[in-house]
Amino acid sequence: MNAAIVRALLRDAYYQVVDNLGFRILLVLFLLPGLFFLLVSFRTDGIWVVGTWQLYPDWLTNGRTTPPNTAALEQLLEMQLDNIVDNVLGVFDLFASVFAIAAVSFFVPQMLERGGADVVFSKPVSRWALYLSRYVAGLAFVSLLAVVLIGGVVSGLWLASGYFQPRLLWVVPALVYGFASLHAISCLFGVLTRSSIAAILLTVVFMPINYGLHKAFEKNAVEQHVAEASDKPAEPTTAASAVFAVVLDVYHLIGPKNGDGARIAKALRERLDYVEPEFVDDELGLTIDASPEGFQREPRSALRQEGLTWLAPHPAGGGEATWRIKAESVERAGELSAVSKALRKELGVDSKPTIIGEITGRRFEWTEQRGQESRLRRRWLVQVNDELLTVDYDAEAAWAAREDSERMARAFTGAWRLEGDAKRRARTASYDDLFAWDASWRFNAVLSILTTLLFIALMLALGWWKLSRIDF
Amino acid sequence: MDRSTPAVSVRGLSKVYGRGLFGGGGFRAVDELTLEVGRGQVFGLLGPNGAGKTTLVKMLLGLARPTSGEARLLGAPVGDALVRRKVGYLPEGHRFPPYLTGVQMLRLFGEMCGCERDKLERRVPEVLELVGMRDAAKRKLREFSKGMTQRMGLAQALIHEPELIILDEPTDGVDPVGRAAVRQIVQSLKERGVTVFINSHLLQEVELICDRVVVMVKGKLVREGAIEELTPRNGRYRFELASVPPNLRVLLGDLGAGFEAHERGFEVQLSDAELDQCVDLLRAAGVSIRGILARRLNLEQAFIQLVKAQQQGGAK
Repeated sequence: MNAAIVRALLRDAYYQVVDNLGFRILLVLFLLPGLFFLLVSFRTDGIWVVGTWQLYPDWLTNGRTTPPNTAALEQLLEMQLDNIVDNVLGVFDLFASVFAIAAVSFFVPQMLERGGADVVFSKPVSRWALYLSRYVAGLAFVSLLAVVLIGGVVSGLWLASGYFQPRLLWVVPALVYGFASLHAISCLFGVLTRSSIAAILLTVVFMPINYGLHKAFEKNAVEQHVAEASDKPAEPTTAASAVFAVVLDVYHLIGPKNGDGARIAKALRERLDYVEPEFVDDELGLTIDASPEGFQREPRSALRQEGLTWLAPHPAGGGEATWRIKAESVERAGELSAVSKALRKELGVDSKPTIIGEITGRRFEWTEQRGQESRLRRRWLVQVNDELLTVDYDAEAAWAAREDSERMARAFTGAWRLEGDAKRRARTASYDDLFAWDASWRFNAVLSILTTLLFIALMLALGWWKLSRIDF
Repeated sequence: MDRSTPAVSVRGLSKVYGRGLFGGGGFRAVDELTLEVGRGQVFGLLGPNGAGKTTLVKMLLGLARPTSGEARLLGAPVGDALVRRKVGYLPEGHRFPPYLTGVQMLRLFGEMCGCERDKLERRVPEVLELVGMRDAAKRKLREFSKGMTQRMGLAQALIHEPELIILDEPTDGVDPVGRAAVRQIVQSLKERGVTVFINSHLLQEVELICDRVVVMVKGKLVREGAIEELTPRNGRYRFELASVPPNLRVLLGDLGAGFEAHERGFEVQLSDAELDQCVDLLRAAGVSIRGILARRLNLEQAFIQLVKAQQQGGAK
């Protein structure tokens, strides 16, 4: 097959897609989210319509707490926008799969219709190339829609809200990946039945079955993972449930894992964005991505001895500020309350609840007079099983007077990941958390991609084999 | 171009549909067919419905797999993609991609047949002109009438300048002017040395444009030859006279059968001996004979006779 034939087939696929009424309707629908984000801007000072009408000025704080400073509001805005975009794209992901399948399932049956097939298959082009061109046409269909959807959302957010998030572009390959396996099935059904209606119906029936089986597999896999990590004796299972678990495992290996598209995109994004963290402690499940702004870590300091220490001189000269994180073994659960109580008594200040990573603790803030010097002190207390984590911030008055002192503290502690020990992590893990490039086979992203690609190849090969045996 | 190899060569070709698991039973659509079509011929494939004509054509184009036997086009096996670049095909009951315009379809099929862009720049307007579709070529195919679609079908079969063209009911749905145009196109292809293989029910069309025909009945070849060979004399003679004597019928007496007078003479059924006798009688009466035409069966009559005979033979 020469380049002219490939060009001709691709151009034919393009013509077929853009002429499709379903495509044009979906194109308009998929422009709507972009249009929405273009007309409605989300800012720290409220939600604005067409940049003119201000709605919900306190939408970020919901009017319940004292508005935080600008930096914190911006952080909050980013989180809220991520949520909004995730929800919008989640709806469109499902919508795109179902409607795109309905819109493209006729590509192969139409090619095989009496009269049409005679013309096309009498040309000096292999049946395989013609079959593949229809498959590619379906992928082009979804790719164009995905580009319109995501391009619109990214541009809309950027232009109206000033929030530029190019990582959203990963959703495009994720959507196409998710669709690729369903479309391979739909093409196979198209060849087997030579009926558009049958191909659509069978594919639409296959989608929830496949989804259900994978969800059941994921639930089983996570339960098994938790049981293994908790050293709990395996619960007695019936023969039927053991057989069902094996069936799920086998199906997971051979079936299309189109639902993993978003997970793979996330894992890929994380891998590409990966920066070596400043500090990791596996026992506590503690990850500190970066030093606090302007601080240097004391190279010899250790978490379980005198404490991990960061120091910084004040930029304008003068005294130092210190961050120190220390882990101590404690003998019983509830040590946090006892220590908090004692500290409250000693300092005469109330503590506030706080969350570090995923674990709830207490936060104290007070001023300490050291000779002539007044110092700002903050302390966070968190207990992870039999270890008490104490985070101390000790700064001279010049530091405390800085406008961004609070923001820096929040930015530093807010960016930690504290997930607890391996058992706790296992108990609270979801399939999404466990899904990784180097995970065991049930959660392995590479295996997911390879087996899904293999499935697509197998479906296409079966379709081609059937097509090669058809007498028109 | 190797002119010595036949354009179409079929040896013992069979196609059985719906065979059982172990190869038994089934419907034999083409049965041990052998035929050859020389280069540059206009060849007609005739037969009643269900004779296996379309199955034969589909096997020639790789659309159906033969059960046994061998078929070659332009000297190469029918499955050869390269040889199919030299073949144009207009199927019966075709359906072209409705989302394409006429020009887009010609470009698509031209490129699928390996035509380069430059060649298509030249060929697309040429064939559109040839089939009389230049004005409508930028419209979508779904907007075309049946006759227009048929013309576009002919255009796509010709776009890549094939050496062999297979036309299945080429004048189906085409108006009389269009039919004449199709005949003219076939004639011009013949003059250029292109082999044309026509499968048609319109026997008058076939009779007008084909050099040779084969007749298939129940998957078998029952007759093959030039049009003259398939349309034998029927014993009737048409006499053209300088002037028609008023007592012509009396003059001939009871010679021959089925006498019919016409403006310039008469037509009558005669044996060879009676023909001589008739000429003698006319000459003896001083009638000047301008011409004698031995009448033949037309192709339709010959075809019907042949098919009936075959079917009766089969029934016995």
